[in-house]
Amino acid sequence: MDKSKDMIEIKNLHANIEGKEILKGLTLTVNAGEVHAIMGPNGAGKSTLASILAGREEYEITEGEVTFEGADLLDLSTEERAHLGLFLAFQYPVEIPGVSNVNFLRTAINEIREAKEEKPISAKEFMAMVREKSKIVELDSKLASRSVNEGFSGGEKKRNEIFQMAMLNPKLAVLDETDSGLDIDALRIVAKGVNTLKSAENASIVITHYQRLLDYIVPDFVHVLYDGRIVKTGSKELALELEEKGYDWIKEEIQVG
Amino acid sequence: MEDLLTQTKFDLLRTRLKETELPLSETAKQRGQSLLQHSDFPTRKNEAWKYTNVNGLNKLLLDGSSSNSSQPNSISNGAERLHILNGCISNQADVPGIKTSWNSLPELSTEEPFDALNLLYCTCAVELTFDDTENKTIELIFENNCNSVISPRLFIKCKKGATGTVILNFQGSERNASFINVSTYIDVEENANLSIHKIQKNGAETFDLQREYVNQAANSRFTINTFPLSGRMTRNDLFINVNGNNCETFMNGAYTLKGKSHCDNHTTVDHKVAHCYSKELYKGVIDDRATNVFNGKVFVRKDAQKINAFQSNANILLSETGTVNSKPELEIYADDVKCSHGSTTGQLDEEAVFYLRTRGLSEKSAKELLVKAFLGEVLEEVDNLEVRYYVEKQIELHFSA
Repeated sequence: MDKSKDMIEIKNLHANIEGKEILKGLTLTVNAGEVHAIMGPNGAGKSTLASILAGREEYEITEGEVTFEGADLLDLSTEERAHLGLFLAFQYPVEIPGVSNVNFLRTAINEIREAKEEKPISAKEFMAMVREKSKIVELDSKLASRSVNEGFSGGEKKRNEIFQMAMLNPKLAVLDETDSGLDIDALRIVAKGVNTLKSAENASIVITHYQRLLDYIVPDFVHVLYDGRIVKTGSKELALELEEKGYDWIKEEIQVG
Repeated sequence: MEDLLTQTKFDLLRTRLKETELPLSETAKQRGQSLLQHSDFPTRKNEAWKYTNVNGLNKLLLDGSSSNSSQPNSISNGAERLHILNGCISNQADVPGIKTSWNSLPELSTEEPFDALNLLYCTCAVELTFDDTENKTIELIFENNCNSVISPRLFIKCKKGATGTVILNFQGSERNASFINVSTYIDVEENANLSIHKIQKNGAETFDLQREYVNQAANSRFTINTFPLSGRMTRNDLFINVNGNNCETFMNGAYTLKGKSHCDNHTTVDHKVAHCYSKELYKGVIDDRATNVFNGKVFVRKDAQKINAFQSNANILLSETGTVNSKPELEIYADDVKCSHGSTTGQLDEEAVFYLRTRGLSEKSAKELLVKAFLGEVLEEVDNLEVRYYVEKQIELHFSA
């Protein structure tokens, strides 16, 4: 494997919350240009992984390391990770009354640019970008300028996540159960957004419980996360097998092994 | 006998104040003196001052010598302006609607010792009159840059059918340690519409005690927006008598406290008659060891039917050591009214802070954005855009400092 393409390398990650061990030696490498799906039963640690990558402070890392483009990710604050190009699409996007979507995005873009010692985005350039990127997820431009997620439907919230992702143009996007609570139409729009944004320079980790999303976002690799570790890795066919047989055969396989 | 032997805190304070040079009648003088002789600083036992201690007044040095103006910020471009430097009027212009010279100041009409103190040691008296529908704006700029006593007595009259706007723009130099003591008498006549915007951007060591006594006649509309933005101690007492039918009363407040600041907003709306509407919204953020007090009282008298009165106070504590004492009170003696009150005190939504940080905002700017959004609800009520932008800017400066 070409080392220079390594985007993120998670090695033997162990993490606790309130004394309970959730991740028990998770190892995963994602390269630029790849889409990785992480599937697994409830309680396996899927959302914990997303939270830890984004820098949620409630978790205690007891062992292991995460390298993101050569930097020690676990050493960085949440916003520093965003500055380097990490993005988390939330399973439950937060409603923030009184903070306009576009205003906060402009602040976000400018803080990211400042961290890279680039000059701030002009109002004109920014508005053109809002128009262009909101089309990708078919987000009404009125929604784009309303308070963040306030009064949005479930589908609108998820589309807003992908809109923000498009605006911030991250290197690595972690999509945490983006399909939860979506009807088929919304799911298709969200997936289309993710696919449109895909390039040889960026990568995504798609965390999902169901195979459904993977009909629309085709992964290069499918990993099964069980009991805090990746226990099986395969191609997109693995997802279909899981959909058909459930997770029990994986559990049995592990116990036998 | 004890009265005569004991030196009160008022006595002590008065030894350091300079008697007013403005013309007072003998009766006014005697009434004021007698009121002060029989009073002392309020203590915790006094319900209205339970959480606010004014003893620090006697620790102020008040030794500033007169100083030159350093170009204060004015808020409104089109306004008639009166510049009051360290308590004294500095541009003595004769403008219609602004009266600054007096044959005799009006008599004392309250039982409030600080009002008596204001009268006896008055540093300037100004009467503003609005008598047409033009909606003229008058801005009083109180620039305080030496540690002195600022004791203005203000009279604001909005005549029958008239419309007017007053901006009370208090601004102190950064470390200013003054004693501001303001009494404002406000008359809103029938069918009149008066708006007052009060900005208290005081120096870090300044004590600021203010009282507004408002009378509203029938079919009038009165709005007062209060912004205590800085200062060691700020106490605002707002008394509104709604004396006529079909009145509207709006009270908005936004405050930003940090360091050791203490802020206390006491408001009273007295609905004496029927068919009136009042709405009150005070919101603020409290950081460090600052303390905030809110006490909002609404009376609805026996025959004041069909009153709609709404009151709300919300606070955000940004530190573990800040304190809020909030007490909304309704006293209703009529039976066909619609009144509500509410008070909340909490922290910033941590999940929202995290969400914004995952998008690249620093913790500081995430919090600042959330605070601005929280106070934004009050600022949206401010229809004067010059005032609104000024206050927004001050809030920004508060966080960048």
